[in-house]
Amino acid sequence: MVKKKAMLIDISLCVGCNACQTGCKEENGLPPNEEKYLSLTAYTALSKHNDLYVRRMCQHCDVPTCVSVCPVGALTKSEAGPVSYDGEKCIGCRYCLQACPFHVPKYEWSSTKPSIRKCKFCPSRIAKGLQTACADACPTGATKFGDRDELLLEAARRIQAEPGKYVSRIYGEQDVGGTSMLYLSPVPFEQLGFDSRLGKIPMPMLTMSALSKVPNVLSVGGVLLAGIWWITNRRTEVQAYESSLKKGDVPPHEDDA
Amino acid sequence: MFDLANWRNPETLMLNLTNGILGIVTVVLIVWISAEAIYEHVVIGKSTNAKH
Amino acid sequence: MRTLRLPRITAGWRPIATILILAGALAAVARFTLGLGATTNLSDEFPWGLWIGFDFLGIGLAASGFTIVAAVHLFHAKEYEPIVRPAILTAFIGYLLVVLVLIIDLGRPDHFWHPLVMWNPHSVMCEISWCLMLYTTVLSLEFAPIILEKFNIHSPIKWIHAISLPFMIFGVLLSTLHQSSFGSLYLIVPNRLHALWYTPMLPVLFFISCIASGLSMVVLESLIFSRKGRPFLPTRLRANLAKIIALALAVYFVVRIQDLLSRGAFREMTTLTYYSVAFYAEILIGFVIPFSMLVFEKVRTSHSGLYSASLMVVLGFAINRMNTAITGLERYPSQVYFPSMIEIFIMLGITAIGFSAFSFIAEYLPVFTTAEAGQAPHQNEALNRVQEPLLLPPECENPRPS
Repeated sequence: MVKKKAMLIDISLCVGCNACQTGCKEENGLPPNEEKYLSLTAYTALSKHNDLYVRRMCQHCDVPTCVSVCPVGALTKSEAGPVSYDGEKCIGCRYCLQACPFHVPKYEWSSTKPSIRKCKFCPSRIAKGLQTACADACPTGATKFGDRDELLLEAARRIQAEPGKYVSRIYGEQDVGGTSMLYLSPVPFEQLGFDSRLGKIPMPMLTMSALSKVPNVLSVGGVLLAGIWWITNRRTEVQAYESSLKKGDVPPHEDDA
Repeated sequence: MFDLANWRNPETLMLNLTNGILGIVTVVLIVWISAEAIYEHVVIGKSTNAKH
Repeated sequence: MRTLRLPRITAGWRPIATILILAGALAAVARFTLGLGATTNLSDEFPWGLWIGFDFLGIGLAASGFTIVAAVHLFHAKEYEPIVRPAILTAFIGYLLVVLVLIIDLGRPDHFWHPLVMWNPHSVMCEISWCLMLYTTVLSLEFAPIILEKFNIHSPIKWIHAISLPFMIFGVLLSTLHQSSFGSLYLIVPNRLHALWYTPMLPVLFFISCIASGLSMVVLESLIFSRKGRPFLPTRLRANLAKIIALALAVYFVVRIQDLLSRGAFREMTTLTYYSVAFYAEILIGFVIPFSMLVFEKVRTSHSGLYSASLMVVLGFAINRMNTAITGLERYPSQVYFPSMIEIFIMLGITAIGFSAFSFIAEYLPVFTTAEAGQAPHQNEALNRVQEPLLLPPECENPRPS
């Protein structure tokens, strides 16, 4: 049983040094320039809100929307946490771009064999028991890597220890069914660009309600249509019979009204 | 739509040519169909007037 | 009331169709050699655009196939037999066009066959891909007798007729599923699709509206192909179809408005925004006005009235699908999506191919004749005039009584 991994991002500890982005770019072989937004070459980025720096990347949701919408299963969720992408399976339908509630996947529009790009959650490092590259690079401990349940306890502990310092909410604990990226913030999350309308139900549940009815439609619908064919077929037979009666071809039967 | 900065680049050239041709086709089609619509309107106008 | 009609083109629509097809081909070459980024205005903020909107539209208009087949072959409304073949042809061409545009829109068109062997049962898009593939197969089986008749190959026809009932039932079920599934695609983005369009009832709404649009396409076709001679479908039957369309429009309207009000969208409906304008455009043109026209028997039995009403249903339906697929989605303050010329011309070119294929097939194959084997198309004089502008509304002087 592999333990679920997560990262705790404490916004009050972030000083905006961008070491996480640098470490990530190095680990993934991306060009080393500093970038302010998520892009094909920046899997994580800091955005500044007044004096606070907010780090965003793929949330590696527990019940990922992108995984559920991909028609060919190019995106998969592993037990340890990372949502991985297989470009060889991808057909380029871009449903994942449309569906992701955090607007994470970026598309290689200028390529003739495009893929999506996003944070991978360093699966090879995690498999070796190491931290993610960004957590390793962070000098202040604003990004902390660990087991999800332990980090949740840690976050709750921090809130309780200094109640005035944090908003009493761990973003990502239950949002869209829970994500691997947990956030603590000194100000309300809406002010930092977080979408707080997302709710606790994972998005895939919305589609499930429709898709689960497919077998019903097929079975009930099939029987219904066959039945209607059968009943109306009888009526045409009866009409043909009655018209031949009128012509006098067939003597009346005792059952006729 | 049109990249005039590095037009020597074969890909940019192809894009510019394609968009140029499509632009011309757009203008031609719009003018053609509008003219026909106006013509039809005018002809009908004349024929209904002629009846009186 | 001034009737809505397309202008008569002196030289015929054929040259224009040819220009559109050639321009579309050029645009397609550009798209495949240069990639989506250079040739479209799609972006990470607007990953789906005109082509996906066109697919939504095309699928609904091709709904004629399953509705008429169900009516004639499952509900035994045999008097509508003459329009079964045009309806199947419309559906067949429509689905092929949609699949073509879908493949062009894919980032990796070389991987288009992947859903056949890799599937994710949780994905609505996977279900749609399968339904489309299976249903196109069913359509080709339903269409095959028309080709076989032309070449007088009769034995496979008997075989096809023997297995036709289960296939037709399967076809109607598949259509019900994917027509509603196109709506289900958007169930997963309540945070992106505007309140005027997002609802858990999307699949139901898509299904009801596709019945109206599919039948309207059939009515339009029967009007267009009824020139200079006896009407292709008796006026009374056409009027009955119009009644069903009116009913579907009414049901849709009630379900939609009721749903909107119960979800608290009243404010959105009564504030003047880009979205509410788009909403009223689709509701008025596609539902309210045609419905109020079709309740009158005079309209249902007149060529020009029926032509205008069904054209409006189709137009309103197009606006509705475009709104759901493009306009109603999240808007970014600094960015707006408008299709590029290449996107537009690929769509127009493929549409032109569809219309041309329809008229070509209608002229040379027994589509607008009765289903009896051996009825040669050249016996039907009216068909020889099919060469002329096809999109012309019929002469609207006294419609010939059937």
